[in-house]
Amino acid sequence: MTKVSEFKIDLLISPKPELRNPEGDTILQDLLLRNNFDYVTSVSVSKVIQLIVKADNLGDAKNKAAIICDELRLYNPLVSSCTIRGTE
Amino acid sequence: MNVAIIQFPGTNCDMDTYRVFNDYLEIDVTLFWHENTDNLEKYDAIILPGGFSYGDRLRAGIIAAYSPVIKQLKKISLKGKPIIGICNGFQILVESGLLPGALLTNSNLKFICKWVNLKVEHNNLFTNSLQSGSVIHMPIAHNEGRYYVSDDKLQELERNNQIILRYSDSDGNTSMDNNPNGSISNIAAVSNANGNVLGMMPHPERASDPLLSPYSTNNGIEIFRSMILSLEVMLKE
Repeated sequence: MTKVSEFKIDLLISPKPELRNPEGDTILQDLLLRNNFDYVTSVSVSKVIQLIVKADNLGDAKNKAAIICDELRLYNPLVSSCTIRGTE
Repeated sequence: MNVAIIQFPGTNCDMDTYRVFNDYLEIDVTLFWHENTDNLEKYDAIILPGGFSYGDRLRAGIIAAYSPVIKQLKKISLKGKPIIGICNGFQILVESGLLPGALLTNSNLKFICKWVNLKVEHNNLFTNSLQSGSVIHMPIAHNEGRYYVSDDKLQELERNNQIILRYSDSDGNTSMDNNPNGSISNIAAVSNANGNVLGMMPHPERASDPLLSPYSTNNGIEIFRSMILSLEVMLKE
């Protein structure tokens, strides 16, 4: 019998680079550059959704998360990308 | 004729819209709770009013877009019945795929609440009572109103006359200076390719009584009146 475990899956939802990221722009212009951290050239703000997923293994958990992402549009593929990361 | 106004948890412009249809236009109108399992097809037109459905959790409009009532709405849209999404209703329509594009956080990262000038780009069933090229006034009130589509899709919208309203100055000039939220090509309202689904960030229900307008205008009611006049023709056919 396969043992079912729980896995912590992070969905990193990031805006596509070709789109303006006004929150990132504000952090860059009005916080970092204004305070002389001029070695930073770009800032982009993303969102993390954390799921605890029951699955047979980490790969299975990531696949299940990917299905949710696609079927319920947890991210909008027109304007963002989603990276799935996981740990046991 | 009977118009349904869909209510979700967090909808807050339902009663304003109801008042315009019931009191000003004297049209039968029904408030339709999203869990209502009645057949939505018995209504002649559907309005998704503004507000903050599900508290804008995850992304404005996305959770409402997966509700059973939207599944019904998708079927109804294919039959050519008029559907208007206002503000959060517009967000629900793009998230459900009934309209193209996406609505992103305003470029200034602020909730914007103010009256704007809008240029009527095209006449369709929602703007037949307005003059194409004219400038009308309505308020906007949103945090996620920056309309975005890819360049290819933008050209397609232009070709198909799907861009219905643009943010403009009082003379109808459109530029970034009079673009309140950073929308691509100053777009404030778009329709689907068939022209029977309209999404708009401005609030016509709040611009339907001259007493409520700083311009003493009621341009918003013309959106609803246009739809009713078009519906009367459609129902006779």
